[in-house]
Amino acid sequence: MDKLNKEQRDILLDYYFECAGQQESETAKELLETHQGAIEFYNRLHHSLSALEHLDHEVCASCPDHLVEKTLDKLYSHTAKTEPISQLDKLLHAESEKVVTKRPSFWRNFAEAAAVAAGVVILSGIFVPVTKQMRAMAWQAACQANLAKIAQGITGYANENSNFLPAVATKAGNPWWKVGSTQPQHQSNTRHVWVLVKNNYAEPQLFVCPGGTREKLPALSQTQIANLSDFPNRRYITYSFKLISEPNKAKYPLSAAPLMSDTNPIFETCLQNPGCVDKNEFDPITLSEKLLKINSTSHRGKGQNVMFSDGAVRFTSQRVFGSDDDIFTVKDRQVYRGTETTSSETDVFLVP
Amino acid sequence: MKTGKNHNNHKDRTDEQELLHRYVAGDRDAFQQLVTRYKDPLYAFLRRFLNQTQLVEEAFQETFLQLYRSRKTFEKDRPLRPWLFTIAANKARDTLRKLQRRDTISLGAMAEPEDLNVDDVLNSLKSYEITPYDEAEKAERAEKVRKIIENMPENLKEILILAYFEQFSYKQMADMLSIPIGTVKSRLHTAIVHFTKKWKSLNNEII
Repeated sequence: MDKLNKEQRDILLDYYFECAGQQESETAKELLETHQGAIEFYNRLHHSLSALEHLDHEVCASCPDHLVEKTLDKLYSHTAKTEPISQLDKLLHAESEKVVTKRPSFWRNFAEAAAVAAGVVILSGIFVPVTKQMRAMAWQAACQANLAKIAQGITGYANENSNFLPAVATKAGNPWWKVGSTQPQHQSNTRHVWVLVKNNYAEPQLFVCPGGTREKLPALSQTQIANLSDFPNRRYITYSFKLISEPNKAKYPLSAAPLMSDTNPIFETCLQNPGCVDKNEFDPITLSEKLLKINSTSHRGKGQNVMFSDGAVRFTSQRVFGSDDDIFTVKDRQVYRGTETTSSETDVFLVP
Repeated sequence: MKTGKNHNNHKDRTDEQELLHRYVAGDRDAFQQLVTRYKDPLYAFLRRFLNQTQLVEEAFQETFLQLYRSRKTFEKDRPLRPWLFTIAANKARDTLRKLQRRDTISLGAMAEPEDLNVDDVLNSLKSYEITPYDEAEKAERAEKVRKIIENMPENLKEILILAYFEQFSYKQMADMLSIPIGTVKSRLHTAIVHFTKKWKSLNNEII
């Protein structure tokens, strides 16, 4: 009896699961008519998996009515609880709760209070914005310094690795957002830049923008760094890096192209949700007018630091560079599921 | 293989489109009709996956609640079924993990791809003649299959149920599980090998 080769076996499996294309189906049918080994294989496969049909004897096909009722009750009671009370109702409620007391000298008290309040407003009006602005500028500069040092690391890496960007094995269509996942098939786009930390091209603390978080993260030991294949979680990397789907094509760009920036604002909220990574869920995101305009929140939504391949780092509220390329989206893509890829090298997509 | 894929006809699709538009707009009546439409297949899917009434009911409710909550992110022009089953599979996985944490027992870890040849495993079956079973035998076999499925690694169980019972295409499963199509195929092959080996070892005297 002729032995089947791997390709023939795969075609028969695809055909069995009704996942074969037209041409594959034709090949499968032909094999099943002419090839004894194929007939044997198909029959054994059918015999083995038809055992699964036994499950249907146990599984009650129809859902009990009480479950549907319970689900809808839960849904309606849940939405009723979360429906916002109208502003008018709130005001009326607050008004009815208010305790009214008679004050003997209203105008005197009012004048005193108003004078003090005016003084506070004037002083805070002068000092608060100034100090806030100074702090924001300091964080912006510190963030730029971080990116400049990472840029040096990337250049150093490229010089020693035949002009390639840091990249680990991955495939187009792999999720790019699962930061810290230890699954080999879940390759977050951050794994590529982790190579810089792992091989001492950049310090791990450089990957946290001081403007985005004031949280003190525990330092990573050398042993931890050696054992990890990605940043431990999203808090350890607040920058977005150029999406790499094919490592063998990840050449260091010849012209100045964006490589890294403050967090991509489109996915920021979704990925900050701790349940997102824990639950392995990426709720699909559809682009809206607002999402196409917002800036990274690391710098109060005023703009983002963008690192270019020539080592320059610029703070800008601009998202579109080169030939009309928005660095936070994939060209012509409206809905995002966390597995997108770009179709050309000129379409830069910085994630996660 | 279960008979035939679920191909909705044109009228069904149009009806569903209209329901989906109303559901996205927050129409409860439309949502209720969607629940009625999908309650049975979803319930059967969760029964196969979780196999305990209480867990199934929890996951069932959570799935529809999530479906309602995330209606604004749903693309109206796409079919609902793969999206609904994506949510259901996630909820089922969560339920199993919660149970695992609570009971601190292993309920089936994620399996790494096995480099096993489907052909060899299938060839090791002594016979593939299908013999008629009486009712007692059927019940006994059903119990064995249920046990194998219950103890299967989570990712293999999931792919086998989605491919065999729900008959999703490779592309749909790849989207649902956020994995490349190649991984769907290799995982499904591993699941077949796993199931066949277990089935064989449980029925060594018969097959």
